[in-house]
Amino acid sequence: MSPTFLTGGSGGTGVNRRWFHLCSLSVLLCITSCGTLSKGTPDNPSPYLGDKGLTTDPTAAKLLFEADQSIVTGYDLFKVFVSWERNNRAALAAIPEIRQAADNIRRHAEEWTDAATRLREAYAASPTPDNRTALNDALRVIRQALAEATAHLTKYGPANNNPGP
Amino acid sequence: MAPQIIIQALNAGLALVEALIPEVERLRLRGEISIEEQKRVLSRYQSLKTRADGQFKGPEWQIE
Repeated sequence: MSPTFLTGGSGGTGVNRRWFHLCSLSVLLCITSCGTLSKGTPDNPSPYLGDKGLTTDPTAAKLLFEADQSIVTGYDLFKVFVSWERNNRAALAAIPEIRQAADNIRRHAEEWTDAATRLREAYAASPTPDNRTALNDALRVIRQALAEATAHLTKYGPANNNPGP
Repeated sequence: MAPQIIIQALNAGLALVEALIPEVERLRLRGEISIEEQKRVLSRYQSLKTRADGQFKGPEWQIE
């Protein structure tokens, strides 16, 4: 199998850039999830926390930030995965579970995103324990699909030396 | 213990705390999510919510 097996028609540079973005997004998600939200200054306040933000409750503000981050990062990574699968479909034909996983994401990613968005808005409007649980459940669905997509990319993607099937 | 020794010990303790404050502040700030990052995430979330950039519309999203 050629070293460019999983690079698609656009050449290695584009895929390497996408792979770099994927890794960067994952690292960013890990780093920022561990931090606390800066409150900023009166001239440059936090859009999440404080009188000019979504809430004055630090716990609720942090969950809202994490929800937004999971939703947008989820979209980015889903897009990387379905693009990669489409660009390498012929080469990936011997691994049908990748096409199945990609089609599952194509079929449901928008619905998962919309569900998480709706529940995020509900929690922002009313940060009750029930709304918090519902939002976390919706985010868990996105994260589970991301874990599957990431596993395929890690195993068969351009950043490894696996020669493929 | 002589009062002078106690005062010297307290002074030494205070000097140590004073020396550590910048480091503690630096570590605290390092764990903070900046305002710029918060704004970036919120802006991207709002774009996705309204599909402002044509999200989910490209050929890669079509089931063939």
